[in-house]
Amino acid sequence: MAEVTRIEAVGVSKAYRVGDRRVQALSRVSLRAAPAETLAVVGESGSGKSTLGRILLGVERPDEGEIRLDSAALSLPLPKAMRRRLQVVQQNPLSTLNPRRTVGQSVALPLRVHRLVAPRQTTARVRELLDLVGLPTDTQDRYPNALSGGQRQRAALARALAAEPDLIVLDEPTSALDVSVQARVLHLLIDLQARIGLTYIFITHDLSVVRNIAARVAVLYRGRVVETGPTEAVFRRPRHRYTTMLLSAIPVVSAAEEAVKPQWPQETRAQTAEAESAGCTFAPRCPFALDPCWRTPPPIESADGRHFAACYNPKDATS
Amino acid sequence: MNDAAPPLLDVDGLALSLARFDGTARILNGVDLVVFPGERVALVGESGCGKTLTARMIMGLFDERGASVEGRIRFDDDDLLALDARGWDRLRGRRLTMIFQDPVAALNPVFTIADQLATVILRGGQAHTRVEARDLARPALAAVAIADPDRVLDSYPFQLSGGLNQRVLIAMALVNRPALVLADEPGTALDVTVQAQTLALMHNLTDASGAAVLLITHNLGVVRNFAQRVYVMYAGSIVEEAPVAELFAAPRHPYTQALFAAVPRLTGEGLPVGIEGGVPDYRVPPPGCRFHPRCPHARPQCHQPPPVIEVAPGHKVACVLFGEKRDG
Amino acid sequence: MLWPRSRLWHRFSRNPLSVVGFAIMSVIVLAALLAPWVTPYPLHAGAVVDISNSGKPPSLAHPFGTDTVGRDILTRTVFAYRLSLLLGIVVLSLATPVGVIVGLLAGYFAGWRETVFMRITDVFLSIPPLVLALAILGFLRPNMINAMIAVSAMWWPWYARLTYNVTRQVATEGYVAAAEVVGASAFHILFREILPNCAAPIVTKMTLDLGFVILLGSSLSFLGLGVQPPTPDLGSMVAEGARYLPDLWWLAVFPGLAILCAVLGFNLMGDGVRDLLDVER
Repeated sequence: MAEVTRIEAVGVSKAYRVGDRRVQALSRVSLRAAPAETLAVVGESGSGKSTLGRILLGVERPDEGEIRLDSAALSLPLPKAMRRRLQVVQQNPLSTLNPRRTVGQSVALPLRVHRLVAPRQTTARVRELLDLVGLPTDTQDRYPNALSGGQRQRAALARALAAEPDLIVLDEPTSALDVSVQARVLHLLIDLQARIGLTYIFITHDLSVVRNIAARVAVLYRGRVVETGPTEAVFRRPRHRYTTMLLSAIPVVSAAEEAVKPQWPQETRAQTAEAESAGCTFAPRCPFALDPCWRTPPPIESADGRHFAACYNPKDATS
Repeated sequence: MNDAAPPLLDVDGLALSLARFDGTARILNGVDLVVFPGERVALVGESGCGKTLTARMIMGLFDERGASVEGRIRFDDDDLLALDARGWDRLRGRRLTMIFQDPVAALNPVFTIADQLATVILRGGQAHTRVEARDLARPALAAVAIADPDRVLDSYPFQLSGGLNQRVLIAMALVNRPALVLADEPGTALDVTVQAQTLALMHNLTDASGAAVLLITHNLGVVRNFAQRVYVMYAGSIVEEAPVAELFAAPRHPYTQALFAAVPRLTGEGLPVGIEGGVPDYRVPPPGCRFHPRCPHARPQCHQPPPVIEVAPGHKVACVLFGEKRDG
Repeated sequence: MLWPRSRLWHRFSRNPLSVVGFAIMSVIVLAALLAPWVTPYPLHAGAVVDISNSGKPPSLAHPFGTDTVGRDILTRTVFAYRLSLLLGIVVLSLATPVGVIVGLLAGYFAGWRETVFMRITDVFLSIPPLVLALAILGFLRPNMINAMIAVSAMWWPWYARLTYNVTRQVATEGYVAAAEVVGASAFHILFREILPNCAAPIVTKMTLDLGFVILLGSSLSFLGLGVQPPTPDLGSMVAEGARYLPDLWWLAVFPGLAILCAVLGFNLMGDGVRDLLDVER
């Protein structure tokens, strides 16, 4: 493809041992993001989205497949120069900063590790970074317990930016924040992307946020990408049944939003054990599952070369 | 809903101050709230606004040294703030129950679901033996749409998914046919698809049993789907109350409006607008309306306690802006 | 510092018993430090014999009574605290660093390091402490320094266990993951990110342990394996006094109470230290 790719996952699989069981966290996941693009990775618990995040960051080794940064495959453990280029902002503002270290010390860590500024300039650079994320410069002498949740996430962002990365994995960066604070942090992220040209992998379960921040979205279910494409297309014309179900479940605040949500048959019965499917992992929960859905995993296909879905009975086919 | 009937729950001027070594924090600053029999009411606000504390005070679960409480909480004919242990024993788990946010933390990991549900049923006095209790537990789980109750009854909480545990908690809260259920962010710890099912279940079940629900949440979308009436809380006070349709059509208090503006929309209108500033320091709160330092419409009168104005039937706003309109 | 009305003092004093512990501990430490000046008969700490005064019950002149050779028991008790405290401090400053480093390495690195370090720790933990100390002293000459070595050898595994458990938990915190993603060295992660967050339980345990180390040192002296006469030691004083029970009861009872006070004082204070060091998130 002619488009430039910053990061690319190619056929990534990963399994864990939990006791005697083997849990397939990811199965042949492929996705990519262009420079200065935001790719949202959406999924519920158990979808493998956090595992994917760690593999994209190069802190965990996939069983199969590889991650390419600017077309070069990552080899683990990452050399220091590569390490710097991939950074993270995590979900939990309570644990992302060391309570025993000042905010300044935390933000200065990448500067020291990668010797990005002369030691005498460290303080000045930390102030600059804090200012960049909208924190008062006296924050650097404070301990995290003096900061609100939103401020801590800003400080964590400043630490990631200190490394001068090409890509930041945003792992549910605003999920623990109140909406009034979330909105301001999201604005900051977009603003920085425009100024610095960062690529974001935005891992989240919150589709309303995705709709407004990501150019493209990949929907993960039980370790597989079931649908991926431009955000607008995926939200307006979801093809995979799981995407449809996910969109229909979002609590919204206006009739206008209710109107754009797809319909999903109301199902409130819950089973303790789900049937196993050799094919599509969503088949046991899918009222539209056909025979082949239970037998062979559906291939991920596209009509327009942009919007892909892995579904034998996609939404357009019946309704 | 029948407004002529006396309210089931009447919280009147509830205030709570906590004395700490560095000052006294007035965490609840006069909360007025009523729930009528069979009504679904939401109390919505952001973290630290006092909504969970209000729920804990209603349940009699707040007991801390150095706290001074003002106001009144009436439930039926009981004054909850003056209730003794025997009184609580009569109400809690029977007429008044609670659903907690985290189903895993709310269930005891070393007992089976059958044991825990039986304990609740025996407390309610509907059964006198564990065998009888189990016979009542089965339909209670079936009512929360659990397909195989016996299998769930013989499981330990960790063997079940978060969604199933949440259903068990709902069954526990409803099995003794309470008059009022307090639900503190039910399902927030769960996936959206499971959360949606959980709320739909609670909606149907309380409708059928006639139980009133006070839902504590931060999520306006959940309020819209679930509640009939809503109270918006900010920094220890109720700033607005209204029927849900009315509030979502026309929020009036500047804080409520700002809260709505901060919600990202599925229609994709671009990023929402946040609220500048932060929640005030409760030890030295701003005088008068506690929102005024962040309010785009702030004026000198905001330093006085705001008047509560009824702008439409059942729609009350605690804001000076609406007082002026009435005067002029 | 623990100034009255300060934030730290507020947290420490939430539990009145911690304040009692702090008071007991202060009195003991001050008395021990200033022993030559605050005791009525400083010379009695040595090999003094005053037969005319031997075996006197508690009186105004000798509040704790005198021993069989006429020495003032109050004086000897206060002097004995000096050695006990010294033992406690030396043992903890030997045992803690060893245990903490072993625990940190085992807790942060999975795999063979965890297995090797923790199995060694378990071996030490499976031997009853007094037996281990006795075994070591069987090889070495019984004196104060060897007692310190013996007690330290059996004390570090407890710190390894504690640090290991806390490290395992701290290692899952977001800031450790963030430091790894930044590319920080293992040294930085272990000693700058993890260790400061293990400090609270370690320091709390040290405070509690001071009392127990004193108790163990006294046990060794009681058995004749610690401090040798005529240096005063609480354990040997109890041992010797026990032979004259119940007639000369004060010989054993007052040093015994002194041990009790030290253990109790450090334990009560330990609770306060734990409250003090709790991290506020």
